[in-house]
Amino acid sequence: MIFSPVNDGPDRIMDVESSIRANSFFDPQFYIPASSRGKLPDYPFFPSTALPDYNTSDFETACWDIARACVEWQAKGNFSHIVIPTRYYDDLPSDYVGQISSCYIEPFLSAIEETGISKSILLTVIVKSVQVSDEENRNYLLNWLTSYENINGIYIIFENTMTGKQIKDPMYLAHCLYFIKVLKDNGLSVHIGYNNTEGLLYSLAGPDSISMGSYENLRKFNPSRFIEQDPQTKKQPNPRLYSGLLFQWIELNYIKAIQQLYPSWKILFENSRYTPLNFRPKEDWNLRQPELYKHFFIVFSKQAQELPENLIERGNYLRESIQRARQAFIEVDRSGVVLDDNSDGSHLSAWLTAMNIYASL
Amino acid sequence: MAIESIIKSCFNVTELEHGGQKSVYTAEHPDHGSIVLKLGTYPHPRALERISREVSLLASIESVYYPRHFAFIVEAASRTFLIIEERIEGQTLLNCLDVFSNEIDIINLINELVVALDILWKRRVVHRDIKPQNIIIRPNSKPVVIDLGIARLLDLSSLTIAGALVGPCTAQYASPEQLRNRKSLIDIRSDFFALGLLALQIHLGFHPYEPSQLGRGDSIPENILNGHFVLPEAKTGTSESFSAFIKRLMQTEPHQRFRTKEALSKYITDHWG
Repeated sequence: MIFSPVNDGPDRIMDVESSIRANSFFDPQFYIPASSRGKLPDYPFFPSTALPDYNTSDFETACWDIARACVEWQAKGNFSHIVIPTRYYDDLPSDYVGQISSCYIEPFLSAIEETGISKSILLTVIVKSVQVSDEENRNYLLNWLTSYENINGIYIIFENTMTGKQIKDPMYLAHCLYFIKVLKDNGLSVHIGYNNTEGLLYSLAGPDSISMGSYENLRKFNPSRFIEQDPQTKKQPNPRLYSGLLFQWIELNYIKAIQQLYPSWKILFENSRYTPLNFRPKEDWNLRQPELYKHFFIVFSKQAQELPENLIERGNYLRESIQRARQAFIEVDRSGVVLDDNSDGSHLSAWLTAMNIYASL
Repeated sequence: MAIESIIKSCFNVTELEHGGQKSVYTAEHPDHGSIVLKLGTYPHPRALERISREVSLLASIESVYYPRHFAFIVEAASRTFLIIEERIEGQTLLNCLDVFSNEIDIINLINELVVALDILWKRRVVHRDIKPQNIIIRPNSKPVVIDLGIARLLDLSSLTIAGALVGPCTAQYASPEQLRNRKSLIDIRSDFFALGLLALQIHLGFHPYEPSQLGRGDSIPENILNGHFVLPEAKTGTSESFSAFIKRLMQTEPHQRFRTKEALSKYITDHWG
């Protein structure tokens, strides 16, 4: 698990069973340092709490004390790692590396050394699309990330600004895989946050953990999550049910159509003790009907556990599974259910192509 | 004691080399025995600061891999300095490349140099100028690293003018990031690159980026930047382990080389015991 301070206050996190905390880490979420969203203000070391009139220049002075307080709190929580946070930039400043190094990495490494904690150290990095896709940018970032000898791992957040619920750019996916592999080849542990089903694809590069969002807004990194929002502007997603066979979330209205037109519809959706309820959803089902998410947890967990350990075998297994999924989508389409871009299997051809590109890199 | 009187107190003073701003002599010192005298002038305070860093660094090291430092005298009025170091018996690696005639000998040398350089790396210093001329091989074949003139302390401010196209280095042995003066990328992996280049030069008997040997490129630095070099397996009988090791050290991007000294040493131990 990754503990999220924007959602849970410090006492609630510390109340979690110690054995769970020992196998999880805490993401300080300094992404928007001036934010006072959710439970962030409850953390005394959060930048806008420590500096009520937060500004960058004050933070440059205060970052050493803030780092120490954050490290001490993480040590107290006895999490699996000490995480060095990062901040989010809409557009990367020219001195991005310098700013992150001086305001985050160096203060945190210094605090860790002073406190004598011997936990594994993870560095958070938000990787922009251009840093994945452009060779020069990618090399620069990889050279920098791998230059810290006393950092043991990287907590990556791939920020993609593509529209649509699935990533359909095979080059981007292939380069994400390559990015993960380079870090692993450098002996670093790699933990990837805010993933959708492409997390299964990323597993081909052998990362140490991949976190999948339980809610749709957690399956893609969005900085607006850390900014105060007008409640009226919050848009509820349409109800969707996860199909492991199809590697896709199918919108409820399409499920009804599939039930109507495709006789073999039952094979498309795995069984769990929550499945029957999902086909009789209530009108306000979303936040008040956790069965959709519990079903997803069960189905996806099983799907992840079935992946072979060996990465080559895993690749073959995924390839076969994707081909089965593509065939299933063809049959659904033939039955008369023409799925839209967000429910169809168009992302799967990108996955297969990405696997081929990655193999050639 | 004035520089002139120190030199006068020595005997058998013999000039070794003479450069633009520095001359190097061997001599016998009444207290220190066989020594090297480095006598020079500095055009401005920034140059003196670089020399001072070299001296401070060497003075802080007590190791068989480095010459002992004895004295550093500066005469500000004439902008003259004198450095007195232990003279190491032996010859530069440049003059005895053929002593290391097989892969095991080369790997052993590299391993010793890693141990030597780790003394700097632990102090967060990058040597930046590893080349055959800066390594003396003792009669027992052990290396001594000399000339820390452009060693870079990673935590201190840079002494190179910002915006310089090329940072301080010897272009024929510099890593791509040094040639491009990408200071934020210069770390111990830049020294790893030079070790790989050194190993390959010994292995092949010539500089692997030399255009006349490679058949392409206009200069050694150009070939370094483009990652074009004569491969280890160009010499018959090269083992896969050795070839893979050298190629990894000589990768153009630092992230493609070994990340840490431990990873490099582990590769050596795993393949050569």
